[in-house]
This record gives sequence, structure tokens and C-alpha cells, in this order.
Amino acid sequence: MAEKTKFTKILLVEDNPDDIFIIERAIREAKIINQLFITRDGQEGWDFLKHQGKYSDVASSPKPGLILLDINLPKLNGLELLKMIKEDPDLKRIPTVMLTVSRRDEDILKGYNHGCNSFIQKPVEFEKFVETVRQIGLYWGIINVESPNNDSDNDIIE
Amino acid sequence: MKLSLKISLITIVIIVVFSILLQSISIAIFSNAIHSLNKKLFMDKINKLILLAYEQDELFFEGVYDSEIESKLRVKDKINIEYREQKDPIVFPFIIETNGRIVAHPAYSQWSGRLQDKEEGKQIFDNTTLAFMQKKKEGELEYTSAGVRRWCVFKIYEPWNWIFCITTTIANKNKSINFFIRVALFISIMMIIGSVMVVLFVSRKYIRPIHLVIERLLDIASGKVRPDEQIPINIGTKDEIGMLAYAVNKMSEDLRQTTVSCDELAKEIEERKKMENALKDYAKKIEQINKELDDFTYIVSHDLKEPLRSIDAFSKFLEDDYRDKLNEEGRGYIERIRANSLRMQKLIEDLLEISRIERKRNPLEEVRIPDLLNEVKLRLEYAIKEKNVEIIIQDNLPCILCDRVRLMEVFVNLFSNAIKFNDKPNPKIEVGCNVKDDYYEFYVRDNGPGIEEQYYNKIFEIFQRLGRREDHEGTGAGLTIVKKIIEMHKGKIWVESKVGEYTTFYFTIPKRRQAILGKKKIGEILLEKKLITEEDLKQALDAQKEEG
Repeated sequence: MAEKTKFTKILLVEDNPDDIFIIERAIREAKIINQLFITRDGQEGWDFLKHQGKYSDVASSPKPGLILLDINLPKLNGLELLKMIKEDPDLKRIPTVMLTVSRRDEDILKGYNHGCNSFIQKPVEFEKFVETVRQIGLYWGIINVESPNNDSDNDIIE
Repeated sequence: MKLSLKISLITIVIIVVFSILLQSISIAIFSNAIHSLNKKLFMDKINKLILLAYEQDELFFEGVYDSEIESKLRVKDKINIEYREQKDPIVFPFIIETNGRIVAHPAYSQWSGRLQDKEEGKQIFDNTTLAFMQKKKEGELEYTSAGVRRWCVFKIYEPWNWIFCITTTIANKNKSINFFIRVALFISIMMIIGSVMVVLFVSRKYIRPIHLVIERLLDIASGKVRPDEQIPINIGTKDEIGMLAYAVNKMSEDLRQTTVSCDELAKEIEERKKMENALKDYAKKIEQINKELDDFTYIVSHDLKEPLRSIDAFSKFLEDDYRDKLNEEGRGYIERIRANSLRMQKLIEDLLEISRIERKRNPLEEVRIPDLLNEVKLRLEYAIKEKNVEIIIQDNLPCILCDRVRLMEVFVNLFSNAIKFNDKPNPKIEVGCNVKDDYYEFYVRDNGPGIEEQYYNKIFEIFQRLGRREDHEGTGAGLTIVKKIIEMHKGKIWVESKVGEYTTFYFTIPKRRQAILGKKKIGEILLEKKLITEEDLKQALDAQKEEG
């Protein structure tokens, strides 16, 4: 499976350092070939995507193929950031997966209403976490067919 | 104008008209009769005189008298004597000749013994009247003499050409008639007065009750219908007015009762509104509490799971990466950390599950219990086979209204407990149902170790376990979940047991949808509000049952 996995740029927006560590390790153990970019809050995630502030260098902040978004984030929370991404013509086609411990209907509904592509509950057990990450990588990296004009949005729209 | 006055006036007019009519007719008849009587009386007298003349004339013819004159004088004398003897001077006779010459008349001759004509040439009647008399021979007539109206009856004695007359004044003739008229008038007036009094009395008697009825109706119309004013109108007759009074009495009584029941109804409605508002407030409060609980469990689950995930992950990393660097004891500690993190995870899940039972209700549906139990058996198939459990399910289990998924959890929990804790070589589970009036009573009985009575309630408390932790897996939330589900259905759950022999879990599920949804029966509400006693309710329910 590893050989077939495409090289995927993943943007992780997560504030909990433990979770960042766990996710990094899970991705490693799931053997997903990737390039993981980490931002620590909603605003930073937005800056990364829009090449603002400390991410003004476009080369160090490339457009990701997948965004993993935690719901509870400081400054700009996950749902708000999701809404901004999905309303932005440049970014709306990037698959965005919400990561949460919550199973609150309200949050899940809001997530889908704002256009998230998937909603995943973080498993407590690490083994399950690895499996989940593997599934995410498998689905969004291989099974899912990307939007064809991912890099030339503007040409087609305008 | 008042009805009594109207009736009186009409009656008076009718009586007056009738009495006038009657009077005039009777006066006419009476005066006519008097007149005829007078005439006959006078004529009789004349006839006597004529008979006298005839007798004297005969005597002359027989030769008793020398001349006709003598017989005439005799007649005159007789009349004179008779006149003198007469007490009533108003009526008197007189004689004239057919040519109008006066033979004898008190005003003109003194009825002397001789036939003298002192008043020669004087006439009482004019020629027309004399002609009339001659023609008629006998009869009556009115005339004027010395300025006085007079009436006379006459008859001619032809042999002598004398006219015999008896006369009187008109006034005299009419005297008795006038008297009669006066009497009749008096009687009429008395009759009118009497009848007016009678009419007034009678109309008062009949119209007064109508006034009473009118007053009562006006009272009713102005809304003065109050229990304390309910004195029925008493007429005492059974005629139309009596019926009217009866009808009005009945109407006002009905109206009073209606008014009273209306008042009671209004009161009851008010009470109910109050009750409803209280219930609404209560429901709002509950909703608020649920919301808070929802938030709380969310926070708990999120906040507790976050560190738990780290504990689990890093203990795993430690185990994986440093296994070789740790001795047996160290690895044992890590295992304990991991086992406990797993257990904590389960506890949190159970906690969430319990809070979810109340928050997330599935719609009620008709569930066939035998089918449901088959599914339960399938789900526990592995455990049942492993322990070789005999499951006895009562025939003809009902089809009940419930939350299917939750009720399944109830049976799964009770079954798995019965299997898990069973210490007998031939484990047995019996399921059955007693159908009661308002609810179903299910039971699940096992032949396990039993529960001591002191723990009957404790087993339903959250995370309470009777056995040692290492003996049986599980958090101890199962029965709490079961109890919660039964309570959600507004049922009850309890346990009966004999240590070493059996344990029976009983639970009830109401039959009615309203009861399951927690809506009270009206009787219960009334009882709670102390509007009725328990005895009342029991009687009412019995009566209802009898009606079928």
C-alpha cells in the first residue's frame, strides 16, 4: 500500500502539542508518504493558506492537498476557519477533514453545513488512531479523485 | 297603557252599549204596553158610558121617558156623578157632538142637571180633527187644549151623534213610563259600576301573575339570576298563565344551574391554565437543565478524553520504544497505566451513554417482544454458546409500544449480566411477562448466585459492582443504563433474589402511549390537586369499567 500512496501535502491545524505529536507519529506508523505542515491555531492556519504574516514565503507554505482541522482552536476556532476556507474561491476545493473528540450533533451539523468533507472522531486508543489516520491517507490520497483544476482555479472561474 | 286598564275600558264600553241597547228596547216595549193598557182602560170606560147611553135610549123607546132629551140628560147626570166621585181630576170624560158642539165638559159646563150650552160656539177640536173622528168612529188622538198637550180616547154613539171622550194630559199618561225609565237607568248604572269592579278584580287577578312573570324575565335579562333569588313564581292555577309561570320557573332554574356550572367551569379552566403554565415553566426548566447537562457531558467527554488520549498514546510509545530498557516491573506498571486508561475510556463512554438515553429519544414503535428477544439471543450468541446457557422464553409474549433500540439494550444488559455472573453448571435464563391493567410486567430470571437484599438498590447505582473487578469485566454501568431506559418509559424496575438460587429482575412498561410519554391521566392530575379524593377516583373508574 505504501508504494501506491501518493505524496500528499497535509496541513494540520491543531493546538494540543500532545495531539500534534500523536498525529505525527500516527502518520508515520500509517506509512503515509507526506509532507506535514503544522499550524497551532485558526489564525495561523488561515495565514498559512493565504500566505500572510510569517507564511508570506509561498515556497514554504505551499497549497496543501488535505487539511486536518481540529474544532477547538484558540483565536479562530475550527468551524470558523472551515467556513472561511469554504467561502474562499482559491481554497474551497481543498478536502478539509474535521478532527474532534466531540460527538455533539450541533458541531457535526455545523461542520457539514460549512462544507467540511469529512468529520472524524479522534479515537482515544493510539492503535485506533493509527488506523484512522491510515484510512484518511488512503481515502484522500488514493481513492479520492482530486479536483482537476486544483492549481488553476482562477483560469476556469474567471 | 296597562293591560288591566285596557281590558276594563273595553268591557265598560261593551257593557254601556249593551245596557243602552237593552234599555231602549225595553223602554219601547214597555211604553208601548203602557200606552195600549191606558187606551184599553179608557176605551172600557167609554164603552160603559156608551152602554149607559144605549140603556137610556132604550128606556126612551120603551116609553119610560117622554123625550129623547130626558134620556140624554140622564146620561149626562150619570157622568157628572161619576166624575164628581172621581178622585183623580186629571183624567175625566167629556162629550161633544159630531159637529164640534160641546155637550158636557168640566171646563165648560158643570155637568148640571140640565142640558145647557153655556159655552155656545166654543169648540175643543177643529174641523179636521172632527172629520177624522167621524171617519174613524173610535180611536185615540193627541191635541192641545188651553195650552196643554192632551191625549184622549174617543168613540161615537151614532144614534145621538155624540162623541164620548176620556182625556188626560200627556204628562200624566207618560208618568209611569218615566218612572220605568228612571228605574232602568239606575239599574244600568249599577250594572256598569258592578261590572267595572268585577272586571278590575278579575283582570287584576289574572294580570298580576303576568306582571310577576315579566318582572322575573326582566331580572333574568338583566343577569340577576342568582341562587339566592330563586323563589319560583307561584300562581296556583293550571291555566295558560300557570303554564307560563311554570315555564318561566323552569327556564330560570335551568339558567341558574347553567350559570352556576358556567362559573364552575370558568374556575376549572382558570385552574387548568395555571397548571398548564406551571407545567410549561417546568418543561422549560427541564429543557434548560438538559441543555446544561448536554454541555456538561460534552465538556466532560472532550476534556477527559483529551488527556486520556495522551496517556494512552504515550504509554504506548513508552511500551513500544523502551520495552527493552525497562525491567519486568516497569513493563508491569506500563500495562497497568494502559489497562486503566482503557477502563477510564469505557467509564466515560458509559457516562455519555447514560446521559444520552434521556437526551436522545427514539420514536415509540410497536415491537414484537419474541422477535426482539431473538435478536438479543443473536447478539449474545457467542456467550450463550460458550457457557451453554438454556434460555426459556414464555409463549405468546405481547407486542408492545416502546423505544425498540433501548428496550433491546435492556434485555442485552440483563441477559449478559445473567450469563456473566452465573456460577452454575447449567445456566438458565427465563423470560416472561404478566399483563396488568395499565402496564406489562416483564421478568428476567436466572439461576445465578443471587443478590443479597441489602444490595437490591445499590446495584442500580452508577459504577457499582458487587463482584471483584478482576473477576468480571465491565464498568458497572449496565444496570444504571437499564434503569434509566425503563424510567424513560415511565416504568419501574426492581429485583427479587435468593442468594445461591436465583435473581429475578422485574420491569414494567406502560401500555398507553400517553403514559409512556409521561402525560398524566386527568384523574391523577385532579387527585394531585386535591380536587377529588382517591375514593372518588376509584368509584369513577369502577363506574367507567361497568359501562365497558
